[in-house]
Amino acid sequence: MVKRSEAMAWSKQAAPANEPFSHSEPTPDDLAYVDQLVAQYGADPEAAIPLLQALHNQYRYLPQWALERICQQTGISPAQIWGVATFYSQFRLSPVGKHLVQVCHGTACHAGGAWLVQQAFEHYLGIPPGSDTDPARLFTIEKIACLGCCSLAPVVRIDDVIYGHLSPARVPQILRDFLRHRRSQAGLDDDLPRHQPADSQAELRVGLDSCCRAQGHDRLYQSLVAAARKLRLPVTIKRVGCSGLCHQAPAVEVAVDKKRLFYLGVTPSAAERLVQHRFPPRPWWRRISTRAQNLIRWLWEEDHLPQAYPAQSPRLAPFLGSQLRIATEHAGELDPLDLDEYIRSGGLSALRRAIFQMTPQEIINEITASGLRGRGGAGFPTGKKWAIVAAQSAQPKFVICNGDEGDPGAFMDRTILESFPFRVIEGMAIAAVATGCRQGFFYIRAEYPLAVRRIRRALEICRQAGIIGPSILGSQYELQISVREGAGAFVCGEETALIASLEGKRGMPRFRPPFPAESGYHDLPTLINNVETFACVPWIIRHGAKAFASVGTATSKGTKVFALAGKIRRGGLIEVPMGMTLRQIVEDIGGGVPQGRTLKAVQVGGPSGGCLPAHLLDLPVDYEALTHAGAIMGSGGMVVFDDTDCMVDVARYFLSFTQSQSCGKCTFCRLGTRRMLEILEAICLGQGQPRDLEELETLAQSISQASLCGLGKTAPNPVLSTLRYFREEYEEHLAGRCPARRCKALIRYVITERCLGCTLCAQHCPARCIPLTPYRRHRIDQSACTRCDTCREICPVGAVEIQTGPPETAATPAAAGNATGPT
Amino acid sequence: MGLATIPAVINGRQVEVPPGTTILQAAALIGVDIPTLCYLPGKPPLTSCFVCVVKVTNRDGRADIRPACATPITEPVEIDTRSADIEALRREAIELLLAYHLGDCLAPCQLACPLRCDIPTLLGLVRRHELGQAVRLLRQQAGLAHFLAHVCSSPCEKACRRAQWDDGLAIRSLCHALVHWQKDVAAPENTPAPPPQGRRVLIVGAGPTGLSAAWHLGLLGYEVVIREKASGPSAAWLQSQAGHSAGASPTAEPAWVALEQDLQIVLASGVKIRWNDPLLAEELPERLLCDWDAVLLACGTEAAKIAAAWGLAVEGQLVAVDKTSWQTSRAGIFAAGSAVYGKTSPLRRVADGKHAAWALASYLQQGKNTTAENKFVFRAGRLSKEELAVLAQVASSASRQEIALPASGESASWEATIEQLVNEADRCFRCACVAAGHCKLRQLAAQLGADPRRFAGHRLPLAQIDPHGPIVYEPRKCVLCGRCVAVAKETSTVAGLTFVGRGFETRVGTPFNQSFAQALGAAGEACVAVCPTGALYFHKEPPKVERPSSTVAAEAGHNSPGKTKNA
Repeated sequence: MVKRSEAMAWSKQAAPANEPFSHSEPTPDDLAYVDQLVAQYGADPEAAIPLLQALHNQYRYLPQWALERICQQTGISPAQIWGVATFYSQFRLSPVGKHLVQVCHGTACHAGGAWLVQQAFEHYLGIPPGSDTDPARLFTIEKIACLGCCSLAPVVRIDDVIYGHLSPARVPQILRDFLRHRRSQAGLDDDLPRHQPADSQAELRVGLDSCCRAQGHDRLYQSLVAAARKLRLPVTIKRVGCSGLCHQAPAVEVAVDKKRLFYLGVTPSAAERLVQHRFPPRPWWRRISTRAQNLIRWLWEEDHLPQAYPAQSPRLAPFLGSQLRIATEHAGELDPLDLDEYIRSGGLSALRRAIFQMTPQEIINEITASGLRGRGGAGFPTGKKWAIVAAQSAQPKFVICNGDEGDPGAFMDRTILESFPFRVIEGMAIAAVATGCRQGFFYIRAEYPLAVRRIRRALEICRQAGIIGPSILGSQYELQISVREGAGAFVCGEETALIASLEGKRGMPRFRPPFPAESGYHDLPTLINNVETFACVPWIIRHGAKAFASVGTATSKGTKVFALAGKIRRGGLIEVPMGMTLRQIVEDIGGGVPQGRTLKAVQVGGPSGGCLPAHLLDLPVDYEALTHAGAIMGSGGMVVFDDTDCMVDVARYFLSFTQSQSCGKCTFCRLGTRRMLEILEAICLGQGQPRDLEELETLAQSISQASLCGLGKTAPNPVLSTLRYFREEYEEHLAGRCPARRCKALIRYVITERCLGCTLCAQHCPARCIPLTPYRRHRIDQSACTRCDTCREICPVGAVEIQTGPPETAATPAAAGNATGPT
Repeated sequence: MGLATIPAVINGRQVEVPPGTTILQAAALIGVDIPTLCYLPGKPPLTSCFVCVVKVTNRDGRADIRPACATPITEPVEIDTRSADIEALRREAIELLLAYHLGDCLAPCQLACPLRCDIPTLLGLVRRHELGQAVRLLRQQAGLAHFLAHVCSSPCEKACRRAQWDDGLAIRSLCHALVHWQKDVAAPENTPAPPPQGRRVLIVGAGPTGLSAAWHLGLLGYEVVIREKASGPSAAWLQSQAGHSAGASPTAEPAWVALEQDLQIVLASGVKIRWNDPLLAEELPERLLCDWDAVLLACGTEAAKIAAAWGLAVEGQLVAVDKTSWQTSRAGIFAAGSAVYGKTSPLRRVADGKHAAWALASYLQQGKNTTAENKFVFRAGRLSKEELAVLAQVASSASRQEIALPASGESASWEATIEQLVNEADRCFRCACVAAGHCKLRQLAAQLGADPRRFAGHRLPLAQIDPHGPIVYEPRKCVLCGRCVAVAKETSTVAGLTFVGRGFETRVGTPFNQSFAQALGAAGEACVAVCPTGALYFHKEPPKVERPSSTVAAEAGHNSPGKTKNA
């Protein structure tokens, strides 16, 4: 247990004098650095965002002198640079602390108590109210929309290190771990050595995606390699992409020939024994010595050898069995950056076929016939979009892969980019061939550094292999692809905003028509497709449109990747045929909600989607069916809520997200969502008025009617769907009760007679509102209680209860003030 | 589309337009007016305000709400620009903007004044040493200015924004000093040329109401005759008309003396008074209306007797009138003042005369009654200390000082008094909006009947960027239409403007927090010109031109209208 004073003590010893943030006046070196950046990124207005990102990486904020210098040295106007610097969340205009704590506020993290975690960080770091940095400037805390590690919720990222499964009580331990072990270690080192002896008989596969790393896979991988080297085992230890088995991590897959075995819950310390057990050393003397060692270890160590499960075992079959993998084909089998392996598994054959055996029109016909629809959310027929772009005579044309997966609660695109970079590039290349595009962009969220890194690396490999570049696979087609990072703006997932962002402007959508297919990037024809859409393309070309169209429903063909998270037993990345029911996904694949809880709702489609109640679980996953029920397909985030989740709070959460992400252009979206949020906040505080619900509905309708882009048009959906299916919860709130016992202003923590008087709660209470009364029942001082949940979490006998409804004692303004978190 | 033109139906009317014509343009072709806020004619649409929304129904029957300014007509469509739900949506847009809005359309002093005197402009003239103009303005706005300076209960001072900060301005004593500075002024020369009326109005009663109405009708170009039963302006009659003035005058001069002054001024403006000519109940209204275009009964309690005899609606001792048009139950016959309210304060009587005059004028001009003012007035309401401090930074920090007249009569030096006047006027918070007269938000709010309180919620504090100008930006009056940003972008030589921030907190800002004038440079004028509200403006007061105080003093007390000009 770390006391607040200890955290302060760390702060004091830190922050050496020559930190970047001490730059207020530029040195000649600084100016030279800026000039060098300009030389590197160019002097076009378009270079604004990459330039600012590079600056930000160097100084951790944007010093004004640097911005001014950029304006002097480039064609970027002061208005442009200032507008951009103030638009994107990634950019800060004032110095930050040495380490950046990014607390994820994605949907699953929110449901898991992200606010409590943030509150705990602020408390233990001694961050003064109204500030985001501790006085010693060691840590800056930042709220982030989503880190895309929803299966580990709640999650924080400290610099490059991701920590998952947090709770307020774990925060001190995490801080300690970070400062002692990880602060010097680059969390993103992706060049872990591969162990591949020539006489390899088997493969040990370790997933090394962002979320796997957060579960310790990188350390596990290193210890496996170390063990194999030490024992000179004839096994390959290989980094692979996401297998989707997030709920089982840390896990190692052992593949001998076609046989697959999964070792689940493997800790780094158990790695060596796993290897020894599975692949006993050849020489008999070594075998004996290791057995002896193991015996000694077994006697005094608690962690036993992890058990192995074949894919067909009851533990894995329900999760893996009913999935159909197209976009995530070979999940967990391929090294994301091993081109040869990709080619061996059928990669690039689609591209070859498209180039050498098909005309562009045939490709488009094939895609049209497959019935593939945009996987980004709106579901526009992909073939139709390609045909429009192909029909444009203006040149050059551009192809953009939209990897700005901003939906909190979604991580499909991140995983696909990290695990299957070559597949996405291949899909993009096929699209470029079909539509006549010669230049392409990946637009990837900066919150996904590993995805950016792998795509960059994959593009480099492809360039060297002649897959992209002046000639695709030696053909007459040309395709240059570069990577652009988003800078923290959800609205940039909207295609016109994305293009504005690519052009170096504020990510503000514009009126359509004209659609980007006709007039997009620099007013030229531009094809924009989502990551998953491109990932489906090679499969369709390889297997034919018919095979793809044979899967799914009448209007929704093929499969859909979902990020299954929230209150579910088996969360992870799944790909299922369209038309599968929500029940099959949530209960069969996901294993339902944890023991003792009941499922309340499934949130589909993120902030643009809706919450579908338990009685609609038999709804098939299909664009039209979901829209009809008040949700949308969206990009595929699926968050499950149980009876401890408050639907009003969920609606408030989504609205506070969209509200903060509105670009600020349209009246209704900018001001209307804010008013809706205020009404919802009042309801969560128990200050709602009966006519509020009606007002919410009116505003919701107006906003969806009179907004320019998808963000505004769909922003009210979470409110509308919860009002539609959970109206009684709203009414309970109006009466001063939160049935889920979630809204802080409407609940109070009470210690029941079960209390043993063990004093644990009193010791851990960060607000010190439980007087220490050993052997007697403890009491909580309601006026000081911050509803941080620590006492309930820590109580060994479950004596802490949450009550709602009109309180017996006077209301507690202290807690009501920061009831459901700041806005 | 191979067609040369595309047929569209707008509100049931057929129109043929070339492809690519926007709905707004198409509507303009057939004279259908669609309200807009962010749209700038001749510039690419900004599509931010969503006031111009219309309902577009295509051939498949799919209806969509679209911004008219940006939506091109590319297929035959049916467009609805004025149905109730579209109007409701527009109203909601305006109401949302108003919920964010913070500022006074009209200064609280002006709103509090029963005569709606334009006190902010008056104070501005005083600050610029244009005292002659100030007096003329005062006279023009408050006919019996001299009298009022004695009897006014000065509600303006209580309403004054500054009253929330320290003390309201000493407006009454300021007015008093002004009218004494230049006692007799003929008809204000800066009034707009009266419309060629040739119309005649009869006013019955020469009391404060009648005189006030006569003065204001005279200003509007009507021929006015007052019939008064008294035999002449005797002291006794004047005293009875002046009533007992509750607020003691700053000078020893009694109110009735002031009323006599005003009477002379009214007479000098061309109004005729027929003394000793009471209106008799036997005179039939039909007869009167043959000779006169309108008749105003301003003869106090007697009016009710006449009205009763004429068969008009009465309520006890009072004449019943429509409270917005001052018209009795018979067209062309009006009543005001004590005739309507019974015994009431002199201030109210004068004010009533003015409003009756306006109502009468609008009746005569259009044959029906309309109110002249924009009905919609946004009030900032109570401001916090911090917000008041924002306003205070443009005002002098001096404390309230009643204006003292020079010690004795004409020969005395006015220099000290004028300095006091200017100093007191400089205490004004300048809270009135510069754009009150041409603000599109206000016009639309009035037109659509918007309720500014509907979405009242959390509001951002009042702020002024660069309050000392030359270009001032008030983020809370900004509707973020983007016009200024777009216009500034056209001038490539200046730093320009940009949106800053995101979401609810978005505002217009300058790069690197430069001043607006600095960032806009040559584009300043064009940017200010396109602001649809009072958010971006040139400082309300151009830099002061120093003038020798002796010139001002020399004019004091002289009947010299028109000489007081800027040096």
